[in-house]
Amino acid sequence: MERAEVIDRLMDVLAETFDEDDIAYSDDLTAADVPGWDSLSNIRLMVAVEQEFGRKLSIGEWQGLKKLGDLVALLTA
Amino acid sequence: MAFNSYGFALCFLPLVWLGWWLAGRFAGQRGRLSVIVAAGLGFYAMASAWALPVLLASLAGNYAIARLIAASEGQTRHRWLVLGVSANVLALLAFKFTGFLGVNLGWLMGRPPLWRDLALPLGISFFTFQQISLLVDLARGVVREVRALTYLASILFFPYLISGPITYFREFAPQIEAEPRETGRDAMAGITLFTIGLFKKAVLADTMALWVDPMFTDVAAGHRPVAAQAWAMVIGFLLQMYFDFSGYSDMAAGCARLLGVKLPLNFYSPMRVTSIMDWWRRWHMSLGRFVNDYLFQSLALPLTRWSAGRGFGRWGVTGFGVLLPTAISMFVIGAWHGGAWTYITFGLLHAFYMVVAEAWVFAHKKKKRGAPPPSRWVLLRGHLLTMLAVLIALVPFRAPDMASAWLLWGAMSGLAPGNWLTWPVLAPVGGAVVAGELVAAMLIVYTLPNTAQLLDQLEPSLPFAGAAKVSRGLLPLRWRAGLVWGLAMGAMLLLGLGFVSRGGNSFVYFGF
Repeated sequence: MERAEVIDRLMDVLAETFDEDDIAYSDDLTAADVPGWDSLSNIRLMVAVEQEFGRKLSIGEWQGLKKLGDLVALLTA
Repeated sequence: MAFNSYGFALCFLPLVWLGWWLAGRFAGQRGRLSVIVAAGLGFYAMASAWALPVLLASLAGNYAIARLIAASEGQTRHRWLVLGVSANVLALLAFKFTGFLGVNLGWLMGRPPLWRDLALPLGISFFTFQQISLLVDLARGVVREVRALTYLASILFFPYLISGPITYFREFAPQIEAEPRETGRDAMAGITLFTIGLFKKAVLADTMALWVDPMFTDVAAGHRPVAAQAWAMVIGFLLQMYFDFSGYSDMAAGCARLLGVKLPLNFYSPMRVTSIMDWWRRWHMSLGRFVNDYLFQSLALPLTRWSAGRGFGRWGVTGFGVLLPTAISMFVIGAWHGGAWTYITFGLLHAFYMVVAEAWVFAHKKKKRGAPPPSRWVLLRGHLLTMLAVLIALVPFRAPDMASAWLLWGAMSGLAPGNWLTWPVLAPVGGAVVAGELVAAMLIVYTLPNTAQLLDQLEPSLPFAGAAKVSRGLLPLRWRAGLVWGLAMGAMLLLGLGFVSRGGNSFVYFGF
């Protein structure tokens, strides 16, 4: 899948999960930058991403992610 | 041998440090690690020699499984993980709950206890948790290789071997394998942390225990406390346990830092919180983190997948994916303390608090957007409600049995018959002493920065993401290298050592 398309769909998922329409994409975005992105909503995000992209990611894969760009790279691959 | 003993503080710790430093100079990394492994074995043998075989069996079994997990993939890897984690959990359950099972099965059959308690090997919870975290991290691919000597050092590291903080292998290994670069600064940070911890334990906690303990003993004997006494003893116990366990944690962090290792935090001003979620983020943090990483997430992810896949609505997914795993996790945190209805009640109460709080936050999420930050009144209300909830749940935690807990709850409600002023157990100490100690302890809690904040110049711990949001208190003191703080710490160390001479009590968490 194209990187731009991944980012587009991912940002829709983020907006829906965190109830926040104006999150701007950046490779370096982390949970600390988004109000309401805590360990609980993170679980919802994980499942929403899995549903949107139709693939299951392991907890190990999630733990390896340090910033949003890492997730995009994982989903693009 | 406990941290708050002359043998440890004046003999064992300096000798181990010297051995570690010399070994590092002349035998490099392997030398340093060997000293740490030997020190851990010696420390454990002196504290609880009979349980040494249990610890050694755990080491051998877990190392074998760790190698098998690291060398396998896919389904095979998963099977080894399930086997390893189950063996650890079953061993822990057997040691902690056999007696409880015997009593309650006997009771169901109308007979005396079927069998007796097993003696609890010292620190078994903590070294078992460390093993589980390593096995799971290996299976998740977060840890990729385990060297034998580093593995032994990571479990036998005496600063956290008996009572935590639960430190992950992935945090420990890179630090212990690295060449120490700042031995002088580490030593200063280590001694300072140890000093503050010893002061909290020997001077503050053990002084409160002098009247808290007799009051609980009196209630256990069936005497009904009056309302003021019930509140004083429960608040007194919360403060005693805070200074005891956070003092222990500071001392553990100090010992570790002497050997060049930073530990994760265990406490971050837990008594200045405004919600029960916040409480569990800042009280016994390494346990909360462990349960979150290895139990909550392992339940929440599949349950959220399952409920979302079934097309349950917002509340359905939250109910199964968040609230249910939260309740289970909190129950486990409570029941883990030991096989007794009191700890189970403690766990159920906190499970109830957390589910209500999470559901409340979820229900109010929509309205929160764009809203101004909560007012002082809302924060104060949150704080008072949280502390009330914590104190109510602390009653069964400390009470020796449920009958005592009910006596205390009755007295705290103010509904139980009895005079507010009669306070028989207090006679040897006097109400003024109790009031004075409670006020002094609360002043420390509410106005001073916590240890990690006070010593931030020394980077006393691994980073904690929520630290920036916590205020430093009304008197934002900050330690700086220099004469004034040097003298203050020297005085605290002498005072702490002096107070040890009245007979160091065991740490509250050595029993778990």
